[in-house]
Amino acid sequence: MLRRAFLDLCWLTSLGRSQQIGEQLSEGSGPDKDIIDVERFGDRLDLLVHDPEKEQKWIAERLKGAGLSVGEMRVDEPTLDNIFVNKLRALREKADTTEFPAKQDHSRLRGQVAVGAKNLVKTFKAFTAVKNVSLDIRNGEVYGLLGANGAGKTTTIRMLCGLLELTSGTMELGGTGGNLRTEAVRKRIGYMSQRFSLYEDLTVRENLDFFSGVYGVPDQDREEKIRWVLSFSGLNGKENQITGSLPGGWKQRVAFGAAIMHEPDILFLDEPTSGVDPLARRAFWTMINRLADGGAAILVTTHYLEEAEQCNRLGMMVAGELVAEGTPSGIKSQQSGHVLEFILSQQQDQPQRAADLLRSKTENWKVSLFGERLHVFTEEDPATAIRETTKRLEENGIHVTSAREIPLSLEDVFISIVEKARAQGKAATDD
Amino acid sequence: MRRIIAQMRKELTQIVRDWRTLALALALPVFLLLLMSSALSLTVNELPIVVQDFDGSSASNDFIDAFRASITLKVVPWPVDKSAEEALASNAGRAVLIIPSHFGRDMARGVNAPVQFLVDASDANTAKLVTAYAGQITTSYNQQGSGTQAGPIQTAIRLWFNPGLSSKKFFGPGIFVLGLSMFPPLLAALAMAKEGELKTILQVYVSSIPAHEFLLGKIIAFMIVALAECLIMSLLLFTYFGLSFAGDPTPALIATILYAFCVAAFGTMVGAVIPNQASALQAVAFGGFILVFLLSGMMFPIQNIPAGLRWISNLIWGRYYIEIVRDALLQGGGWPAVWYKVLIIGAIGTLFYGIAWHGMRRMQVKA
Repeated sequence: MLRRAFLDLCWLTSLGRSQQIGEQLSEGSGPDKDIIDVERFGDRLDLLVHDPEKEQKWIAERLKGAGLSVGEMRVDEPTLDNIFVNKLRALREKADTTEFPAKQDHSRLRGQVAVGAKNLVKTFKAFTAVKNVSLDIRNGEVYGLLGANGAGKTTTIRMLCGLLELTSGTMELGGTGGNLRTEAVRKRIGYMSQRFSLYEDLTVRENLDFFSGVYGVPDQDREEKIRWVLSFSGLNGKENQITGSLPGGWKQRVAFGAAIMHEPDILFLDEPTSGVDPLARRAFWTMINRLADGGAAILVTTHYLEEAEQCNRLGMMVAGELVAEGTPSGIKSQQSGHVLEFILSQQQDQPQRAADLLRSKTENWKVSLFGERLHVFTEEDPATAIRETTKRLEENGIHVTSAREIPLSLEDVFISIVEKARAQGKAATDD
Repeated sequence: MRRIIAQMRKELTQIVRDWRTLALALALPVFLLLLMSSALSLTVNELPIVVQDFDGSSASNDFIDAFRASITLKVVPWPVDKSAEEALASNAGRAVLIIPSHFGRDMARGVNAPVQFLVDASDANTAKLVTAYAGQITTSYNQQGSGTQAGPIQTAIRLWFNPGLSSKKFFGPGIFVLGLSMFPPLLAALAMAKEGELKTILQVYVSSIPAHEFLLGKIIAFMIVALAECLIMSLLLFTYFGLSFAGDPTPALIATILYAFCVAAFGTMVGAVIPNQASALQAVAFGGFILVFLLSGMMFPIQNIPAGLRWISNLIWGRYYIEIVRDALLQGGGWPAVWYKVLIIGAIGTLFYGIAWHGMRRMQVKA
């Protein structure tokens, strides 16, 4: 049976170490091995294993041998994502993981401020899209910008990479302020826009030729870089396909490849993985982490909150403002409240009735239903809340099979932050 | 330089990929050239003249024969019992010649023999032509009849540059210029507007290519299209139209390259300023077609344009190129006649390039 073991390496201050371990473990992983899959979420490793108890011991011993200790280890059910990826892996050959042909070494930049923005404001006529956003992103860091649609993420990212004029505020890229249009600055920047922006009427190869030309990739490296993008995109041998005819996920991969061919040390990715299948998403994140480990500063926006956990730091935007910032675990711990999970019997629509019942007494967003599982967000003491809610449900003839407190997911945190901000009158635009 | 080449190559690949549009852009001017040069005509042939002969004498017949001999006019007999007005109203003729009943007698007596000539003046140009021809025929008939020799002053008219008064030779170069002023900038404007519309421009903005290189790459690509079009149309001019260089061809050759630059820059500028394909198309149609067609002297002599609007034609790039081409193919004045026009074309092209650059120089989006 598949189980999932969380290996919390939050003790390890150096992210380089968690990556090292992750890579060591994934080398020995595979569908027929004890450890099936390894996924890295910032300072946390997610292992997919057959027998968690056995692996737990084995890993602890192994880490001890390496002079490392594990903060916490938890066992949980595999997610749908885990299962899907696992199945795909078994069917497909292992994704081609040609090493990125890095010709530049950005590691000396590590720790420097790559993107420094102070009090960015952008107004479009009467509408203020971005209000006083300040950001510092350092080389070697993956910074995730989250927010609902219309929260101002894309506008912010466009200002940061110089695509949009600031209404007010100051900006620095790679230590350079003022004119960001210089060739020296441009060569350090990579950008992948939210909307596919390669030429759909050109073949993949022609697109890559063009972008390696205008991004100034040296002639002698060009062929190698293009080969890598093709292999990363899984398009080996399909390079003469018209780009517009490719499925969305493949386009995204080509666009990502095109954006990093010139090895920028400041990378802006606006929803890079939208429309990308989970397996390819893994490949994206492996690459993103690898680039950050190589010294690049990466700003990424996403709607997949599970993905966001892989960032070193997160910023959450609501209605043009940055309302929370910190590491994923930091943001979660700052957030007051608990999530309770009730498992209900499926009979006679009970879960739906339970949800309706609880919603009648609280705000809608605090109650969410996933099949037979009911998640309730509460600010009260979790034990009391479980007791009281169970009682209420039982009184109304709904049978609670089990109830427990589950750790706050980033999604819970995100929703509660957005909803609280909305309650304070910050209109989050829906679109 | 490498970036300009990359940009130009990409642009040409896109142009060739969309081969239907390209084929249309190359074939339409040829079609236009053939169609308009055979449809448009400077001379008038076989204008119907209704003749109502109330006299029926041999003298009146002689007089009518003089009209019949003209290749310009075609005599249409008209019965005496029908009114002349009817002939004009029913478009049976553009004019009516009415010979009164005592014509023959008066001629024989040697007294004045008036005839009436009614002209349909709804088309002023044709009316003038018909009147002039009728006058000429009458004058020469009088001279023959009276046996008088010509007066002391004789004009010996010789037609230069286009001795056969062939419309093809006049309009051919004009339509050649019109085609060149329309189709390459149309393609350029659509390609440029498309970059803005499909947001591919974003990826270009963040790259390290500066605006002037990006634009230049695009302009060079469309210059190549313009020159290809020019080549095809020139072949037609030199064969079907029977034109050849009248003098030094170098001004025209250099002007052609500069004009290709000028129209490509015009299209690119329009697309850069108006990032919407439909509107860009309208703008090019206005600039490339209407302005060049009406105000360049291609169709209508510039001195006929009302003075208040005439100055505009000084800004129309097509005007200078038409003058250079006509000079090269008809007059043969060479460099001394056209050198400054060549420079003006280059200057206007550079202005277009400058405006496009100005709009794009920041390489930023508006929203």
